[in-house]
Amino acid sequence: MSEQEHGLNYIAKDSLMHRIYPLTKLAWVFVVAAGLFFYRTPYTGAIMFGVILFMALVVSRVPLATFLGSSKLIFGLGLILMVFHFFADPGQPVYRLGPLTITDGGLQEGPIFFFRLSVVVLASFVLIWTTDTRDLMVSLANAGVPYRYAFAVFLALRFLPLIQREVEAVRSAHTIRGRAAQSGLIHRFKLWQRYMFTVLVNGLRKAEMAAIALECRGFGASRQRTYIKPVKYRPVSLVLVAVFLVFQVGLIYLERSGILA
Amino acid sequence: MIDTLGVWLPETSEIGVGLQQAAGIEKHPIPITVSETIDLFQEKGLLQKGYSVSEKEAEPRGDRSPQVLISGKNLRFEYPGGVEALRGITFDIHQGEWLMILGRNGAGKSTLANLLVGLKKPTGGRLNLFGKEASRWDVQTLANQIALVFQNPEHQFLTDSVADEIGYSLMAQGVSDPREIEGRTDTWLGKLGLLEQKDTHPFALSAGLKRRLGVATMLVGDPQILLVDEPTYGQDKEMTFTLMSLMEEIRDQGVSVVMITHDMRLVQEYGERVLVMSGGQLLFDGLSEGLFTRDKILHQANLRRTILHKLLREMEFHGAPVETRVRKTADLERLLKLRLSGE
Repeated sequence: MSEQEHGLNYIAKDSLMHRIYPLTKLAWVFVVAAGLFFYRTPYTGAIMFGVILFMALVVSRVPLATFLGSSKLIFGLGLILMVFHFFADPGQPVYRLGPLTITDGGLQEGPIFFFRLSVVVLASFVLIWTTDTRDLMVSLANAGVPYRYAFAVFLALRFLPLIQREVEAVRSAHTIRGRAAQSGLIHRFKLWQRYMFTVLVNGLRKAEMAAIALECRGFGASRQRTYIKPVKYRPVSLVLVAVFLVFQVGLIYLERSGILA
Repeated sequence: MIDTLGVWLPETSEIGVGLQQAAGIEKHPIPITVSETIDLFQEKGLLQKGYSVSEKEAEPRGDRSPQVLISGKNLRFEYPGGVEALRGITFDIHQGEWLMILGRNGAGKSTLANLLVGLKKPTGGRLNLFGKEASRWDVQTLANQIALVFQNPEHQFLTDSVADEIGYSLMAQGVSDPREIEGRTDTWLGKLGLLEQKDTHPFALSAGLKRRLGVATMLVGDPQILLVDEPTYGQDKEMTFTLMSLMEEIRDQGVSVVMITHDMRLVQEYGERVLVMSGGQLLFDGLSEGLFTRDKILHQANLRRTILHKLLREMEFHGAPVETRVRKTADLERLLKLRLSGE
């Protein structure tokens, strides 16, 4: 899968969301994520999901194709969590599937967890799509985070697409080599083991090379770090956090008052 | 001595070292730049007239079987994000052919490779693979016809020993008798000089041996085309020579060898038919020596002329043109030595 396909990269555009100070956007993700833990019905989560989707496609001008390309990641984990809750939560049995039982409690809780996770993942993606990782690093350093740690965040985000590309290359190679095992499950487990092994080994090599490169360039030698492109904080960015804080509280209030029950 | 260290020398220095071994210029410093080499040639009277090779001496070029294995017509591919990786390219790949696909990063080479092995399907145009439309092939069946060796062979390894890697490929081909697997594994390992490393973990092999094992695992299915992505990436000269000799052996067995590269020196020394890609378009389809005379295409594809070709230009400028059939460093060195010895 190429970067174009998985779309987990910064998209250079001039949107309202792109212009917001990176740290404020990070705070926005936390506001969105924190509120989700108070939701008790799937409707609240669905409304928030719709709002974040609007933020992605309209306010951030993220192409629909990019969103669709990332939909496996956005919805995948949420779906797994939802199905898990169908079976794991206590309640009256609704449907039996062999030794497993789907409960009414599970059917109620499952969608809540689905939206919780999907909203957090989508909001994080909006942050990635609209924020240059270097700007995020600079804004963290501006906020007083020692630049060694800020750079660690930058490196982690920089490595993410590389690791993803590596996983995809391994998957393609394994697809081409075909299946030698009889059992699909055993084969899948062995492939998964090999993905992990290859990605881990190559990840360690990359980390070692990055560390050597940083040493060679005298990283950390100077107390003060300068940046080519300054990132200036504009208090107006806080409007985003304020609006979402009010919206979040309003949504929870409507839910608790029974309107969104 | 430098040869044994596997060090890449500029072509000018290679010629200089070669000429040093010829009579009369032992004490002359080895040239590095093109102008130093031209000075040496002038001093030794090597630029008084042009150089040509007889028909008999010239290496046969561009001969190919009429049988077309792969045919792409106005082939297009667009990523879901809207990025057009291939913008209508048309080409054929023939049986037993030695083809290099050349271009800078982002030119569309790897996307094309993924289409050829079925990992991606075209979003426009027609792609016929071994007599069937690309959409009618599944990846694993197609892998028996065209084998892709990835740029990083480690991505292909699935087991914990060299022998098991070959064994895995045989089992994926449907071979189930353990004795047959063992016998055929040994045969393949012997062919590729990997018998001594039979029980070694694939990740513990040297870069060159990993590449060999990558090739071996893909050759087990007797493919008609071997597609190799950046075969010499990060390899020294000696390992490059060994790998290219292996590719030549494979081609001699009737397998078409398609190489993806951006190494212009590799094209110069080993190229026959070359496809040049840039921005998802095909800029050039022809013999490698023809490419080096096309300044506009080299510029468009952001490719650089090799030192040898810069030297050949300078020789022409100084009144000693060299026939285009002379394309390798060794060819020119041989002609210069002949001139020096008065033949």
